Amino acid sequence: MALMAVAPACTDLEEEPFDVLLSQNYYQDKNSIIAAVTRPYEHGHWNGWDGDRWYMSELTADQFVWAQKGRHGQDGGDWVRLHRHEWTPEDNHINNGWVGPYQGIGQCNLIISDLTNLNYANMGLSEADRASHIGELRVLRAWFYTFLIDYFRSVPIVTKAGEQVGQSTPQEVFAFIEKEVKEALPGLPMNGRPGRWDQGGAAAILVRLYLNSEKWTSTPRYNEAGQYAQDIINGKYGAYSIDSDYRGPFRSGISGYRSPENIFEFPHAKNIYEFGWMYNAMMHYQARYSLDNDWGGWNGITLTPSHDLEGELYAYKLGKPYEKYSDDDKRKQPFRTTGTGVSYEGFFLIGQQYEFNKTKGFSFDSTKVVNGTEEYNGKPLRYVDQVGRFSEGASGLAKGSHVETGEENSGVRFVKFPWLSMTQNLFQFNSATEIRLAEIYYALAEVKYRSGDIAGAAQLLDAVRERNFPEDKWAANSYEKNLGKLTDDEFVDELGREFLGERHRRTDLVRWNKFGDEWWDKAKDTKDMSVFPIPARAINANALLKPNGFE
Amino acid sequence: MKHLLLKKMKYILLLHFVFLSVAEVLAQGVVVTGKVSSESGEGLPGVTVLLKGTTNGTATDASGSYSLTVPNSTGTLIFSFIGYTQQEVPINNRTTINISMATDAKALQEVVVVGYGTVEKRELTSAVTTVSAKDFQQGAFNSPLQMIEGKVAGVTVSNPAAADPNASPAIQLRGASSLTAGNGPLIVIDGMPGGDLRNIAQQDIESISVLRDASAAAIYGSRGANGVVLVQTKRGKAGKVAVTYDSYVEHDAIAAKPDILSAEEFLTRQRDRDLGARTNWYDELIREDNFGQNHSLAVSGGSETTVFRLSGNYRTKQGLDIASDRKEYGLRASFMQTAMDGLLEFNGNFSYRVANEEYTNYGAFQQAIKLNPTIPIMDPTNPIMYNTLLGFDTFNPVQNLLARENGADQEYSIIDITTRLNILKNLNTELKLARQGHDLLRREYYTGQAAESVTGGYTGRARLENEKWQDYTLEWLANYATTIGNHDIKALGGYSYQEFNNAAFWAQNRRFPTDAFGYNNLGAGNYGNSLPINMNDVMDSRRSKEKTIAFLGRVNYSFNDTYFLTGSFRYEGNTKFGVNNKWGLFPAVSAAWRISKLPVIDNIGAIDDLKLRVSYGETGRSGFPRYTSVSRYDGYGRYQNDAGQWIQVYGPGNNYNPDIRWEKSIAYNVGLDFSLFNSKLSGSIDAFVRKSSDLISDYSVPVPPYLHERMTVNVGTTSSRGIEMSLGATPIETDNFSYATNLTGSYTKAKLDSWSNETYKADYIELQVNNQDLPSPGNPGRAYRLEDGSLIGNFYGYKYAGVDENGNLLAWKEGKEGTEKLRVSGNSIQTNAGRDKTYIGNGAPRYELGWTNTLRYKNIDLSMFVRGRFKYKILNLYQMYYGLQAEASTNLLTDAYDRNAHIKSGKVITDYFLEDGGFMKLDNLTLGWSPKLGVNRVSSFRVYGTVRNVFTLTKYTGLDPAAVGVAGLTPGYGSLDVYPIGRNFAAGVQISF
Repeated sequence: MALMAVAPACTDLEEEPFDVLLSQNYYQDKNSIIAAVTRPYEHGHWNGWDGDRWYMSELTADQFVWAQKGRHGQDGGDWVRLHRHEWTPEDNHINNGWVGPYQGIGQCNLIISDLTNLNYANMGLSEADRASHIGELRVLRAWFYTFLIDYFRSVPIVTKAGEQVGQSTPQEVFAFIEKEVKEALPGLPMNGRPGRWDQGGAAAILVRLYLNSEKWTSTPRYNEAGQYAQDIINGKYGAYSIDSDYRGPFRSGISGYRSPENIFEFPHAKNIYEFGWMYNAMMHYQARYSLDNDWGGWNGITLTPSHDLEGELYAYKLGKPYEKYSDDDKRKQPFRTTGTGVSYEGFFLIGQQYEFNKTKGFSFDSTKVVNGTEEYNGKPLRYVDQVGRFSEGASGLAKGSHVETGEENSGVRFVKFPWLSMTQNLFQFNSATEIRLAEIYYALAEVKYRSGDIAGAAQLLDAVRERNFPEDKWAANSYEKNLGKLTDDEFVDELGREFLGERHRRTDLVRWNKFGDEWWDKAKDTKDMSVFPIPARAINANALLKPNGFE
Repeated sequence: MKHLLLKKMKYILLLHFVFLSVAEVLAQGVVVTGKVSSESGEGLPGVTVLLKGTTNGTATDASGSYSLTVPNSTGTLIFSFIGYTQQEVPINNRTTINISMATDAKALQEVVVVGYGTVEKRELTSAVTTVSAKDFQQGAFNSPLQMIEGKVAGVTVSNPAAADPNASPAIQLRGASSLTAGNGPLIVIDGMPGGDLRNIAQQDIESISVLRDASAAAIYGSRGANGVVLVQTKRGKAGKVAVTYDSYVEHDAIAAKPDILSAEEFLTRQRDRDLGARTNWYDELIREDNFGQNHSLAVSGGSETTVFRLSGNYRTKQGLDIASDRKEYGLRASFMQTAMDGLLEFNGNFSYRVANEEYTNYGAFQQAIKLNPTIPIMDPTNPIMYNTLLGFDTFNPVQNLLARENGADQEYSIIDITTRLNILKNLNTELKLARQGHDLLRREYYTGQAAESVTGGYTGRARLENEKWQDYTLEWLANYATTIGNHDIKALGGYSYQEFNNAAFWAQNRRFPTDAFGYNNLGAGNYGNSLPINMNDVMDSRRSKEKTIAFLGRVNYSFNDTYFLTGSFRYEGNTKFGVNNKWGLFPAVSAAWRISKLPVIDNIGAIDDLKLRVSYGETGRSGFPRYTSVSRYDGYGRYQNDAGQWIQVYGPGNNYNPDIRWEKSIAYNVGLDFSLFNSKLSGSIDAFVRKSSDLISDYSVPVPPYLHERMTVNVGTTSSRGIEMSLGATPIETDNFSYATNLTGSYTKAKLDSWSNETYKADYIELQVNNQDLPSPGNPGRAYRLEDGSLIGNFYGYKYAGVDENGNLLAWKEGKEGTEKLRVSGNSIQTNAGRDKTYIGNGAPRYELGWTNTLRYKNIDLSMFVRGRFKYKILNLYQMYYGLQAEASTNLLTDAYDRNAHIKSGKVITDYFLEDGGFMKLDNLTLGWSPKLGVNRVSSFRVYGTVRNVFTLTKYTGLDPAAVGVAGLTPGYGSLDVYPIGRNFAAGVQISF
């Protein structure tokens, strides 16, 4: 050991990095700052549009289900528990509804602290750049907190890296989000780049916050929601307009198109950042043959069924998402491409599946039937708006229509985010639309509706909805022209139609006090399930945390 | 035995040569010559001949002859050789003195190789077992470790794919202890720690020593906690040049096949449609005419100042399946040269080895069981193409194995050179410099016929990966020995520096104009079909480095050959350890008492030797990834920058933990060595307790305050305890007939003591196997669970309570038999995992047994090796996945309609699928014939035949319980991906000239 002093070289144990970056050496220039600023965004993209947060918001509600399909999809009963509101604090998905946002918050905290201490001038950037970077990270952090208040209400407010604190009240969390967004908003650009927070995006977060305030904090603040919504519509925070085409907001990103309706969208690009989860979770293994790509798919999530095993429409008020669309509605058409390029119609795959017509470069080849690989192995694959073991005949049907009794063709498939031809390089470029102007219209409509201004609400809803109908069918479908139709139930149905699959449904049902109601294969809740329990793992690991009363 | 001893004595003899040569130069006078022979009349090489009272001496040559110059004819010569009674013979004016030496039963003590040296077995204070070449298992092996299977008590050699020529067994000592830092022992080749056994041909190994207890292993510090395996390669001997040719040919036959429905039964049972063909998928994957050969030629010899050994080896082996193949060849050279009259001594090894490997896919054998047997192999509409199968986890296994090339070319090398300076007769110092190299070229080509090409619509995908490992070792040691009266003292001190470098890169491309290029023209492909590609999909590289530095020391003390005491330490650091914990101290103490020296025992004639040992040692385990303890910013996915370009984002990569250090293991061992009835029965018994704390764990930490859900921390304690016994007996030994038997047995129990500390708390861990839950479809979850106090290898699931009227599985409520039966499969499940799951069995064998019997009649020898494992369960996934009718449309085991016919619903983890894994196996049967050829030049000749895996007695219904891994944290996992079970036949010849 005496040698250690004599021969330091012989006792040098410092790690020599080659393909890793040590934190202390990370920030070198402008590029490294941008790569760090965008890290929590990239996480936010995942957080919003890859798996658990979507499951928690949609699979617990009435429009989507991951039915067990024969030997696939039992998955430890996870999907049954989400669908029937039988989750426990131990559930992985619920844990991930906690961890995902907090990881983003942790990244924002750390990088805000890094940026605060960096010498921007030495990196070729200005103080204005610093302010703008920190501003957008504060809004991003606030957006992460909206998940937490929505899911759990009473959560810790962490603003420093490594800080371990106990819970704040929902009111405090609300106030924190409100303050952060309001302080940062003026310093943000107007109509910024896709996927970056700007004034419009920040204001939209405030609309979401105030609209749900009554549920989240017990204090209604609909007026403020209405005020911010009106300001956004008026262009105070940037120029936006309702897309004239019902497909527009969801094909934003493909072939350079950017929908003027999208206030915040997460961009995608093939091979770079793909909308992979959405495709895989929803598409059948064989969908690649009809959609012209080389992907696999998990054959998991579909719309909840509208029809029972005899083909009768279910009597439940909620659910039945496919049949909630009028036959006049362009969105209800079966999805098919109508030309080469970005040219398609319909939001759903239903009925017999056919191979993509490679000769024409669009549409289907009706001579080439796509076959199943499981229950319908070697037999035609035909999606039905029902869930049941039809392949097993009478004994299968005797098992009933449940989350557990699906088969490979069960359920209408959701392709609102269009899966276009990979051969034509149109596959996996569509953005994930996080916030669009239509939501602001609907929020303002809701504020008006709640205040009794049904006509004002109808006008706003129609401003968005008109694009969904052929001219000759519009009169029959307009709310303005059929004002009596616009009831509470209709408003909830309309929210479901417009924002189907956009991670809104659970929040909307909770706000409309319908989350505990019954729908397909789900009984009325016997206790309040509108808030998720604080995950057991979080409580187990942090002595400062207390259960929130929803265990 | 004598030959063995001769080999083992070489190091000590070399030392003697050195001292004696120094003396020789000074001598003048009378020359005395002669020959020293054994009792049977053969010349004894290497016997020390010393003029009494002087340092003037020599050693006998290969024929046993010597020549010594003495000052005059009145002295006395001392003839000494370990294992023989020392003789003093007065010269009495003679110039020729021939003597015959008698073996000394008491002195018949083996030398045991220990860390940084050797000790005589009688001085040993710790649990160390040395197996020398003559005691190795015979036959054809993939790894040298298979040759000591069943020979060392407490060592588990787990070999799930024995017939795959490219598979290596896992080896584990005294039970599993670590969660993530590895449970395999440290391999030391010719003194170089961290050696790679793939460097060595089995014929080049002289002995394998296993340091079982911590007091022996502690001198290897932070890498010693799983035990240490010391491999010594063969050296040349002074004397006539010896040539040895050793070769065998081998063949694997199928020993067990899964019992699945035939095509007719499949259709009768209406499993699925008749697709026209009659395909036996399993048979299609078997290479019936597989063949292997192994040739080794060694030349050795030398003089008193130079010895050398050169060997070459060539081996080929075809797998038992249609894809695996292996060819390897290598050269090895070792030398010893003394200089400056023995003051300096150089020792070295050079080895170079090449292996060309072609790999299989174990998943193909799972497909072979479950695929519809009426599916044609080739596409019925286009018979020149394979029938590409679609669907979840479904592929054509013949296509999978043949429409591709998937292998590697490996190069291994070792250079080690030790320079020793003999400063005094009892003081020396040595410097070892070594380099171990390994170069790997992975090469893969999936042709236009491969499933991915057919479904992806392109011709071929090629991938090459080159990886290099370069390890450097520098060790500087000093040895001192002295005797003061009845006190013998030996001391060792040293410094060790090791550096491990790794670098790799790979590239791939696809969509080639033709299959003709294979992987030889990567640039010719068009990966993205002219669409933008993600560069990470086509190329990457990596590089890392690790250093370990240590100071070490050891003192051996013995008093009157009765009391022995050994103390050692290693003060060691590693670059991987956190800045707050770079260095650790690993001490050990052990003592032994030769009870047989007590007059009261010495007088019992039956007892030749009886020795009690006790030991204590602290060791470490450091097998966690490099750069874990530093704070990193890592690259993640892509996002658009301010200009709308996609860039890779960077952010905090880990939860920084500057405190990460080695896992600490403290172990106690008590042992008894005995030798009875004139050494006709000898053996040892050891009992141990090993406690491992500060387990390196990938721990769930709270988010917030942490950023990542997992963090590498030192938390948790495991312990293993057990008893090991080995017995050797030679009940019959006559000129014409002998019978020797050797039995090893062990009892081991390993458990998780705790899984929390003040900072990090967790109730339990559910373990995956190979980073996966039980496979889809169905996702039954994880089958293993550990919580405080549970045994390692515990299965966790439902307790089977029969089936309901619809054939749905039932489970006992709260896991308690006799309570309520709840439906656990099918619709309307009544069980609740949190409430009703319980511990249902354990997959780690409690007892292991190895039993070798060797019979010799004149020149015929017969050996039988039986081994067994007892008291453990195997989770039989075959039964769970392919033994139930509910599995949609796949082929099934016949058991589905037989012993499992009552179950109509799908799989759930219950103890119904746990089976008794216990077995006894006649694992090796060898018959040899060593005729005296009467040819002058041939000194020995033997032909032999070996059958391995002869038969197995077991209740396990899977293919072979021995093919189920039992090492590590998830023992007893009866995987779906089982390589075919082989019965190996080998015939060989060994000739020495």
